[in-house]
Amino acid sequence: MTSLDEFATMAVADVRAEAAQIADTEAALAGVRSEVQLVAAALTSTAAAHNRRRRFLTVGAAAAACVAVVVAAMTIGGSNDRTVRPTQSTPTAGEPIPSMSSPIYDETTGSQIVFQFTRQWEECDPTAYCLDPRSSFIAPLVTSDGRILLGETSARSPGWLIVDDGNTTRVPIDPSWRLRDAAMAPDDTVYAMFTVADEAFLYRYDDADMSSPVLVAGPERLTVEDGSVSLDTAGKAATTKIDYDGGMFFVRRPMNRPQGAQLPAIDGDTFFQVDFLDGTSRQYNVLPGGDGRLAAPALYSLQNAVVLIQALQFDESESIIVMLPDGTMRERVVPLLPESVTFAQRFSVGNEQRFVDEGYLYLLTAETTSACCTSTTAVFSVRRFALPTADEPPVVVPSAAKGLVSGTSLAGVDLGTGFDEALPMLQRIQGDQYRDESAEYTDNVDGKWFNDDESFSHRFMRQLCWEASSMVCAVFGGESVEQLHLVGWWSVGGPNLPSPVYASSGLALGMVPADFGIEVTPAQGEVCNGLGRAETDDGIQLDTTVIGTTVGATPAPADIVVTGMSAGEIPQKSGGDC
Amino acid sequence: MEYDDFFRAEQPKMVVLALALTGVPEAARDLAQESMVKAYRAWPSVQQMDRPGAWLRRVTINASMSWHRSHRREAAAIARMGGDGSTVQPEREGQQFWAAVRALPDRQRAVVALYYLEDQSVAATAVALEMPEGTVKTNLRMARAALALALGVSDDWKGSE
Repeated sequence: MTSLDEFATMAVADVRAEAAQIADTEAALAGVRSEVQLVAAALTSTAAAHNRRRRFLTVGAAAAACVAVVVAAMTIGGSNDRTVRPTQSTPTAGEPIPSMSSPIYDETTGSQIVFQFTRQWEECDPTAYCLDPRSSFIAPLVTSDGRILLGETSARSPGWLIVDDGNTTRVPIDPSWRLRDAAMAPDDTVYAMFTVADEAFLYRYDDADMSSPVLVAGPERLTVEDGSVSLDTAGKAATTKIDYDGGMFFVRRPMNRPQGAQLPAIDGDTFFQVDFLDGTSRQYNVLPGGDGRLAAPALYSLQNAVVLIQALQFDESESIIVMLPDGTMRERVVPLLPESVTFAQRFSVGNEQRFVDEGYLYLLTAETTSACCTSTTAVFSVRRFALPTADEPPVVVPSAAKGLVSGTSLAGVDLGTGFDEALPMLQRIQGDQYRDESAEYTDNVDGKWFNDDESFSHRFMRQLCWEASSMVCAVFGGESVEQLHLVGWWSVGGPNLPSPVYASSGLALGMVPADFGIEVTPAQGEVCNGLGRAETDDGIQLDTTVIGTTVGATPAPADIVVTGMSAGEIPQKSGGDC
Repeated sequence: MEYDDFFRAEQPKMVVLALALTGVPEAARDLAQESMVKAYRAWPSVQQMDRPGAWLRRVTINASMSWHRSHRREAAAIARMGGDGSTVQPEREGQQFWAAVRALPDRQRAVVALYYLEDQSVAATAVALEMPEGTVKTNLRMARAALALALGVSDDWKGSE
């Protein structure tokens, strides 16, 4: 029989031969140059879209700020029947973002941009988009052909604004539906999340055709499970959608956040659980520090990653954290913005104050309160920071990772850490232990210590256990009580219980090792039938059992699940069969 | 490295990659060109990358995946309108192989394409796709199992490459 590799070799030769017939390198190279020159000359495609996106970004911020100034505007005689009207002008190549005063936008350093908000259309600068200040708008989406999509979340008349070369069309949305968020995949598929009452729905618009929504997922998948978490868009506390490499996933932040609170605190066990639409999920632990807090909005989507912004109060820094699909994170610390500006809700810069594209984080902040609220002009500054890339070293596993384990650590605490140092760290992360056991092993045989029940590699042992859905224990050992240090950990649980621990790969109790490319060695002996052992790449020992297979039969890899995880040195029961 | 050198070295490979992933010569040529244009526009930063080739492969793979999705929708629309929505049936064995590859999930498709087309090791494939090696191996193993089944051939890969 032909092997797969022989088949593949033939197929590779085949496709190379076919490609050789169509790959005219020199003609293509000339094509690249002419296309780029054409783009530069005509300001089409990406350049125009980027320009418009930047302009729209700033206008988006302006529009959001307008929500804040609308009260002031109304009190000085604003009209009540404004409608949306876009600019008729088109920017030309090299033109900065339009504004009322000297327009400046320095892409390298980031500099001030000035906007003017008006109460009457007639007052609007003809080179700027003007939006109804009574509405809120979600972040603009720019299609590959340069169309700009903007979701208007006005309670009275929600809808989609579609701006195409200065011409705007509007697709209304049923007022009983609340548009919560939207994102666009690289192929121009737009996803939007709506809520009706307390139920969430995800819709898809193929090719950014905003008149043809298709239901993707309903409340059975999107229901908020924790009643203390609201679905408000201001903080994006509960469920946020993110576009991911052309697909979509959802982020749940299971933190205690009272409805309406502006700045959710990060505590020791806060994490992001990302549920992918294909059914897989991954957890990302935020960086340590109960003093930390998330700057809202905290999450941004990129084609290949999730970007989290975390402000740390103590060192007055702010981290840009990129969470990659493989579960690793990269971090870059940037200067903290003045708190009064960054987080002052009276500016209502809200969701538009930060913007992330594939390479940079942009920060937009209002600089003075008086400019915002007593006149129709607001002054913003723009700063730009490069995002951390995958070339940078991964963020060290945060100690706040409640259940994150490895072959050399438990919840971020390294094996070898002294008892007195490790205990408060573990308690901060795990809470108070519910079990505290000590033992002394009296007999030394060939360097190993024994008592009547078990053996251990040290004379003294102390074991602290925490019980969540299942149990996890930290094992300390030493030649004296004073010398105890963390030497190992173990955790056990049933296949149907949520796992209290998980490896950086995502492997946890109850999961199938084969899904992670791990082979299991069956235990020998009849009484051990169905049990097995395995080891992960990073040194975690796994105990496995078989589910769903008749005893005696060779189990399918998918029927073998992890029931125990451990690492380091842990006490061994004497006389175990398996 | 100059862009011209980069282009001459990589463009033919991108055509092969896109052709394997789409099965449509016209689309392959366009997608490869699209990737090279992106590289040209971003050349100052691409040039600075440690592995610009890996970046280019990701761009091409992503573009091919997008094309694939869009094409799938198109085929579905044609089917709804009464057409059969199917693509041309592969004739040669090589075409059968790539047709089976294109039937795989996105990630497996990308892993298989890079692994075979460029004689890349698991490690190099992992770098190009920004995946852990274990993930590449897992995807490769699953993909090979599916391919062997679809093509009716044996597979004795141990995943240690």
